Amino acid sequence: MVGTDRQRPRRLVLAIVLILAMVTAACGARFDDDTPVAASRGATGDTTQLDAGTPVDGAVTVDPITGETIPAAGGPTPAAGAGNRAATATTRAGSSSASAVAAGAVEPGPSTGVTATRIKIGYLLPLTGAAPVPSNFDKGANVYWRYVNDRNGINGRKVDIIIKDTQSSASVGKQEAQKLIEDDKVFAIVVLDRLENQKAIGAFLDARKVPNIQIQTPANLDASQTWTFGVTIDHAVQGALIADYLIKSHPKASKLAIVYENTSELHPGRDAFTKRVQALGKQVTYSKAIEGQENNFSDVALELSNSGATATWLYMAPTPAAKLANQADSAGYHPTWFANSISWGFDLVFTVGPKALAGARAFSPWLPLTDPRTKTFRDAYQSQTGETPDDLGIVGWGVGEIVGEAIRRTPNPLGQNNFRHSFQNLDFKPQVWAPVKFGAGVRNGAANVAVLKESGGRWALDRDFSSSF
Amino acid sequence: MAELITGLSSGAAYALMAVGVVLVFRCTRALSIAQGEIGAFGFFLGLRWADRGIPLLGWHPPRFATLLIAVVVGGLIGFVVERLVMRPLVRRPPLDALIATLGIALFLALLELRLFGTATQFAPSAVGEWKIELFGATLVASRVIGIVLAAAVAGALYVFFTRTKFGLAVQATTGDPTVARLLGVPVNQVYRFAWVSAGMLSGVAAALLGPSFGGLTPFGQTEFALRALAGSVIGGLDSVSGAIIGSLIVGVVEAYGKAHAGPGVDSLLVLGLVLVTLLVRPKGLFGATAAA
Repeated sequence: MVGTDRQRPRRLVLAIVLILAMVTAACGARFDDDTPVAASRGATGDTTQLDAGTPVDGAVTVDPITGETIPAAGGPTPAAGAGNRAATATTRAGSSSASAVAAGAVEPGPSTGVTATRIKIGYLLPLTGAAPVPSNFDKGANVYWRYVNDRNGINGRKVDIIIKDTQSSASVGKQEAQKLIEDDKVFAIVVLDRLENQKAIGAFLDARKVPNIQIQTPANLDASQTWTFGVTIDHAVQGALIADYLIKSHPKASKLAIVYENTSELHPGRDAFTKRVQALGKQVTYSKAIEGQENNFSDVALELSNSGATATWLYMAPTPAAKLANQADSAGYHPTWFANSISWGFDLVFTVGPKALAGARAFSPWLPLTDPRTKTFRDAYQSQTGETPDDLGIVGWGVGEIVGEAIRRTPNPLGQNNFRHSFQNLDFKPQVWAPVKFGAGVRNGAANVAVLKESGGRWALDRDFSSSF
Repeated sequence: MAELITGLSSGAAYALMAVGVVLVFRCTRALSIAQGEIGAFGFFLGLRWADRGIPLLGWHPPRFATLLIAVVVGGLIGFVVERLVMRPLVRRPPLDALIATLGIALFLALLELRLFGTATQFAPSAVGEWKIELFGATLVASRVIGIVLAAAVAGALYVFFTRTKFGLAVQATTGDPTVARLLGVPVNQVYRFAWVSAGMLSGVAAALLGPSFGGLTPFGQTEFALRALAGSVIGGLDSVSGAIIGSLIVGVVEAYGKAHAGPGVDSLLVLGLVLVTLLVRPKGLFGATAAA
């Protein structure tokens, strides 16, 4: 089609406006990951934690990938510390640039999902599919945020949550994540699913630069995922701790077994466990992968029985764990069963295997319902839902506490980048959850677990949160 | 030896379900995938009533009654399925009936999910907690009863099909339903008998398999039904004894596969065996009619 003479100038103007718009967009307000603004919000002290990749004249920088502190030319050398948590960069007063950074002012970034009075948070949970969470799981999240909202919200904003179903599938989870980002325009997303699914969804959200909180933390969460935060213990770290606990504390076993679901995401945990058991001079007499959807564990029960193991870690979801323990019990095998964090440490398992799971132990990121510190949760749950609270709801409540605290500590104007910055520096002890402590380069803020033991068909606290045994 | 015993006991459990599959196939020429969930639904209901009491009555049935409830409800579901779903499909291609049973299995499993939740249901044994040791393997009461029942049902069905008038009528119906109808055989009664009996057998199987395998989950019994189907295809879809032997073979292959290969390999071995059977001997080891 050929335009008329009258149309040509209009098109030209339109084209120029379009080009200008594109150029403006390209050069417009942007923020780099973790780049603090030398803003004038006022210094808050002579020591501050820096974000990954923060360049500071005469001081230190933090490798954005590893979280290691890197001394800048002529700057002080940071004291060596154990693990990446110790890599938190610390600057001392004396550097004017550092003082400016010490203000902690960070470019807020997009304020998607935030208004003057509301904040929208998304949840991705496996409500249906192959490995669904029981329905009370999401109730805990709802109860927590309603509890917060009834008390004027956070910094004057009330929190709305949108829960989407991943159908226990990574691809569906990613589709739903996209909807949460593009249609619902949420501020941040909390994710829980099978480890492999959650990992895939986390990577997707990270690529989209959406703050995402992973309830399960995969082993060795990629340090480059700077928008992702794990709030439970790393699986590899946990594997070694479980060996420590079972050998040194209870049941002081010399022969141990591990039965795990057949997914490569669990291998780091399994390997760390096996290695530590051997390092402590004991034996893993039985190590076997199972399919989580199976029903017939007769062979495993028989082999476990023949292995002589007195403590067995069931590294799997509640359903196969309870079925396997029941079948083993029928075969006359009754070791100390052990559950890792976020696996089958729920009271519900004792309704399925009341006899078989007697005396079981578990690592847990949350407190058992019987602990007095869960009273606020129990009261709120009871009053809001009219139902008896259960420990499935604690998960939603505990994670809500952490996310809420990170929002609370984020200065106005609230944006996804300064929220991420707050999360990256979060050092917080929730009411019902393990303490979390992030720092530069630390993707997983949880290093502690509580030890639970079966008592009268419920989990009870055996040992408070600890990071060593 | 312990693996062999474990495998045989699992196979016997599948056999109980396979007998129902054969019964339906023999009478109606329909291959039922719903054989697992029909009985499972009844057993779920029995467990729920034992736990919370029967609605309106408030009576908590004892453990053994959960088996009876599973049998009665299984029979009722079989009756409804035959009348509302399968009978209209009698003159349709066999594939329609197969798909219909798949639909029934999914419907029941999803209904179980909705009514009873996703969590595994604790399933105490309806036949006691006793157990026996055999060559290093422990067999619990429900498995022993399962083995005995599978053998008893096989014997009873043999007598029924060869010695009773109605059994012979069933044989005639499967040969040619139209001719059988002309000869006065109550064909609809035969179909009803097949589905109700298979439903009741499914109830027995669920009540014995649930406790044997550590609890009851929606879709769980469908997995057993598929194993039973594999056993039936291997042994012969129209042979009760063949289905039992086929199921025992499946159990043993599964046990050895699990013990000596990686997870999931046992299923591959079983399916491989089914494929080989279909290629080499489509009628199965003891069957007279091919599966398809």
